[in-house]
Parts: sequence; C-alpha cells; structure tokens
Amino acid sequence: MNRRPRAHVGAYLAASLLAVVFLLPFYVIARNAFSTQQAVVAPVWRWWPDALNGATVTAVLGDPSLGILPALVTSLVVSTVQTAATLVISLMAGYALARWSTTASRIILGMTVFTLMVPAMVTFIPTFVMVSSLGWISTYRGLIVPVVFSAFATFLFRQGFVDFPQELEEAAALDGANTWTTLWRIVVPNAGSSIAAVGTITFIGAWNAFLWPLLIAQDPQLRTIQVVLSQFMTSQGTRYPEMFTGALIGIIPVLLVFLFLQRWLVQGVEASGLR
Amino acid sequence: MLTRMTLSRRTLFTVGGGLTATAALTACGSNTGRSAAPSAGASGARPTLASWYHKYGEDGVEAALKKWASEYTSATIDVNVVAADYERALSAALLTPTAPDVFEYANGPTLDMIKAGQVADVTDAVGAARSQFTPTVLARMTYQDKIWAVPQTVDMQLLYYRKSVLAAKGLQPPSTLEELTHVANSVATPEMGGFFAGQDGGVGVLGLLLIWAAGLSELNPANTAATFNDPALYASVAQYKTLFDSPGMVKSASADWSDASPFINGETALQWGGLWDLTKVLAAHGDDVGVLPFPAAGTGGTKVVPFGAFSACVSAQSANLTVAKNYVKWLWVDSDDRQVEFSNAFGVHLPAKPALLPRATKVAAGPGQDAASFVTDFGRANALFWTSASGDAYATALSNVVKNGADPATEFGAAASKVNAELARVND
Repeated sequence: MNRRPRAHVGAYLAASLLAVVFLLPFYVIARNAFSTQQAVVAPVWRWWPDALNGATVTAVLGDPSLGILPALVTSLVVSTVQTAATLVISLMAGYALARWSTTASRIILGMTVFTLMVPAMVTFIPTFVMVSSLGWISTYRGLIVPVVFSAFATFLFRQGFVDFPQELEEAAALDGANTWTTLWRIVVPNAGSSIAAVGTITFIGAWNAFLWPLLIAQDPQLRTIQVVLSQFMTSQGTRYPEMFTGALIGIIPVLLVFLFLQRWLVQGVEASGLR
Repeated sequence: MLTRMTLSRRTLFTVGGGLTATAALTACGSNTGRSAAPSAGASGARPTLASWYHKYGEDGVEAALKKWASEYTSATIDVNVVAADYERALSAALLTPTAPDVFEYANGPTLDMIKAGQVADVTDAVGAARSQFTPTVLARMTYQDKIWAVPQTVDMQLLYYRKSVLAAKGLQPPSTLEELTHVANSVATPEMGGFFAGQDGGVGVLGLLLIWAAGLSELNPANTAATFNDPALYASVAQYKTLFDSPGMVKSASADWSDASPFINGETALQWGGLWDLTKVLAAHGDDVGVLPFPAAGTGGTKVVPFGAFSACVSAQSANLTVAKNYVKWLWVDSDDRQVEFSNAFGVHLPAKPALLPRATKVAAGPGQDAASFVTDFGRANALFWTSASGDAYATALSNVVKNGADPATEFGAAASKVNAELARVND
C-alpha cells in the first residue's frame, strides 16, 4: 500500500532535482544580468546578484547604439514570416510526398532526406554568394527566403500525413472537394499537433539563428537579437552583465512560444521519431 | 483522384493575402548596407565606399571610426562594424559582389588572400611614408616587395606581475622560463595563483613564443622550410611543460588571457595579457604593477614580445579602387593626429609610426613606457608565410607534447613536415 506513495515521492523528488538542474542556467542568466562585471568575474562565486537596481537593464534598453529593441522587432518579423512560410511550403510538400507514391516522388523524398545529412556549412558559402548576387544583402528577403525551404519540416509533415486517415479525404472527394480543398479544409484542421510542432521548432531555430543573420544583416538596422548580443563579446573581453541582460530580454519571446506550444512540440518530436 | 479546382472567395482572399505579404517582403529592406553604386567621377557624383571593421572592446572606437569617416570629403564612407565572427563574415563577403571596398585585417591580409587577388596593392598609397612605419610591422604586410595593407595601430602582448607579491617573497622579476616557473610556484597560495596565460594553460597564445624564446624562428629567411624543429625548441617546451604541470600554473580563471580580469581580481600574481588592458590594470593596482617580456628559454634563448597591427586593406574588386586607396592613405598614412588619438583614447595602443610614440601619452612613462621599449628590443611578429594550416599543425604538436607528454621530436617532426608541405603550396 505504501509503496506507490513512496514511489511518487521519489519520482517527484527526482523530477524536482532535474528541474533545478535544467533551470539553473536560466538562473545564472538572471543572476549575471543583475550583477556588476566585477561580481560576474570574481573568483569567488556568489549566488545572489549585487546590482538588483536594474541599472544594466536600463542601460542596455536605453542605449540606441546597441539597438536591442529594433533587433527584437527584426527577430520577431524574421522568425514569424520564416515560420509561416516554412509551414505553408513544407506542409504542401509533405502532403504531396505522402499522397503521391510515384517513382518521382520517391526520388524527391530520398533527395529531401539526403539534404538533412549534408552539413549546413557545406552549402553556406554558395548560398551566401547566390544571395549576394541577387542583391539581397541587408534585406528581409535575404534573411528569410533562403531558409524557408526546410527538408526537416517537409519530412516531419510527410511522416504525419502518411498516418492521416485517408477515409476522411475520400469522403471529402465524394462530396466534390478537390485536392486543394481537401488539404486545407480536411487535412490541415486535423494536423494541429504537427503544425504546432514544426512551427515551434522553426520559430525557435529562426529566433536563435546567428551566422546567417550575421552575414546577411550588414546594415545595423537589420540586425537580429542574436547578432546584437554578440557585440558584447569582443577580442578584448566580454561584457557579461550587458550580454546576459540582452540574453534575458532575448529569450522571453521564445520562452513564451515554447510554453504555449510545448505539448505539441513534444508530440511532434515523438511523431518524427527524433530524439 | 484529382478533381477540378474551384476558386472560392476565401481562397481568393488567402492567395491575395499571400501575394500581398510576398510583395511587402520584397519591398522591405532594400537597404543593402551601401549606397547606390557610384563610380568615381561619374557625372561628378561623390562615390560611396563600404568600410568594414571588427568589433573593438574599447568604448568609443566605433564612434571615432564613424566620425573620421564622415570627415573624409572625397567620398561617402559607410562604416560597418561587424558584430562578431569578423574573419568568417569578411571571408564570405570577399567572395561576393558586395565585398567591402576597405576592410581591416589582423596583421594584414593572409598570403592566400594576396595570392587569390582579393586585396589590392597599396604600395603607392603608402609611398614615401614607407620608412616611417615600424619595419617589422610593415614586413608582415609586404609580399614580393609590394605593400598589401597599411598598419592602423600596434597591439602587443606582455607579462603583468604584482611587484609587492614578488617582493614579499624576495623574488626578482623572471627573465628566464626557469625563473618564471620558480616565481609562479613560490608566490602561489590557495587564494592567489602563480601564472595565468589562458584557459588552455597558455598553449594557444604562447605557442610561437616558445619558438622565439628558444632563439629560433618558425621559418627560414627564404620562407621555404620550417626551422622550429630543433632541440632548442624541445628544451623550451620541456621547461614550459614543467611550469604547466606545476602547482603555480593557473589553468582556469574568470576570463581568458586577453582579458586582464584574473590579474585585476587577484586570482593570479602574473598574467600574460595585452597592452590594451593597461589602463584597467593600473587603475586596479596602481604602482604595484610591473610588465615584462616573455622570458628567454635555455642558454641560447631570448626574451620576446609578440606584436602586430590591425591593418587597412583595399578590396581588389572595388569599383572605386583609386578612391578606396586614397581614403586609406588619408586615414592611416597621412592623418597622424587620428593615429595618435587611436593610441591614446581607446585602451592603450602604440602608433604604427615610431615617430609618433612621444605623443602617445599612455606609453610615455611607467609600465607603458617599458612596454613600448619591449617592442623595440624584443618585438617579434609572425611570418606572412606562417599560414593557418601551419599554425594548426604546430599547435597540435605543442598541445600533444605539453598536455599529453608526447615525444617532442616525433610531434614537432611531423608538424615540420606539414609546414614544409604548406610552404611548398604557397610558394608554388
């Protein structure tokens, strides 16, 4: 009788311990954001911050030369548009690959999966040269268009649609729905978890992207939050309070997205077989 | 089964909305980071140049660079301070039509950049002022008797030490690696370490210094063969390994070697660092600070300090090549006042022209003056032909010897073979 409650207590303790371990980095971010540079680099670790007056937050947000707030807006625009475009494109591509079983579709699926195995760094420079040749440097087009075609998202949707009950689609066809109508009125409304999972993963990836925005956003007005944060790490040292303050501000939007969509994110990861 | 597609009002709005969004996206952000491409002299229009810098840690540098650029009257200069990962961003940009017209590079362009035709010859821009620059600095930027970059300001590394800590133990400032080991171990306490040179134990930043301190050079004068694979280097590295393995060595601190925070915080009594931090170091410890060159290794060794200069390069692909060269000449060859300001106002640096040293107030006395004299007496700059592949081969060997106790003859022999192969490639 007592074994189950004891097991529950043990499980809760273990989960609580793990939660503390996983949350510790977030505490360190907050602690460093509200500490002075001297306290952050002090040889003796102090758990409690020594600059709780928020002076660094005020300074970082109030310094127009840093451009934290415009960078947040840019990141939000880029992440939102990239996520929406990736969802639409990959959803349609995934549906087509799931429903049309032809030699061509199998070849395309194979090539799609193959691109997942090619390191991004291999295609990085050629893509950058192409974008530059198109005159897309320091434009939203350059930031967004090259990265909206996601093999990962396409594969994730394809896997989800393979298991989608075809009876529903056949019933829609009997009612006169064409493929386009079936996709958007029958399939999509029933694929919420896949869409939310892909959307969350894409949004977080877009928000955290660094190297591509660094190269493309040569105009300071178009810098994303990750690029702006990197300014605090220079060859002459790191300004820890400012960097962690920026990080604290920068993770809020992505944290909100994760908190709202975490259930579907887990479902989507499970459905794709990725661990 | 595919059926005939119908276009409902909702679909029409959806597609229309998508097209509108696409059009808006297309219209957004047409700022390419540079103004419309102007060619010099075309209908009298003032040309526009894109000028790139890395992100300096000292406050005010970016503002000064932009102010100086705005003071140039013959062209409009778009200054872009790349936030991070400067060399990778620049390398990618140089492959494209949107490469910057003017850009800085640490110690001048690499040999591969010169041979690939990415940078323009600026010998004419330097002109008669060639003799005014520190010869060893300019030598790093000279290939086939042509100058490929103009030094902006000179940075150097040096050894900071706390005079009072050494005096309390009756120790003299170390002039040999053996003495450094003795001092580091003698002054180390549970609260304060002895010697710090980076989170990797100094293997990264001190690599070439161990060659030079042994009285050797990394390459022969003709740049055709590696010359570091020598018993003198084995002895130098063996002495450093003794220091590395000793209790006085600090292998983990609150910042890396390039940030003097560990020394300022009292985490270590001696730290290998940069002259750029001298102001902060003096503010923390005042007269208790002394500076030294890296000590000599072995009987044939010599003290050394490495120095180099971020340097202004002109892209060979620039549509306004002459204008770009003129701008570089105006800012970094002719504008002595700005060079002095760069040395005095942002951290501590040395003017690239030795004649301007008396005007560099922060190196006019005390440790700053000592540091400046080290450049003259013990200064070394790495060779142009020492490519990144060569550096990687040597660093791997050094790490294996110091950290893993590998046989130096085997490791440095293998590294020398790789360096020789690399020299054969670049000399081809």
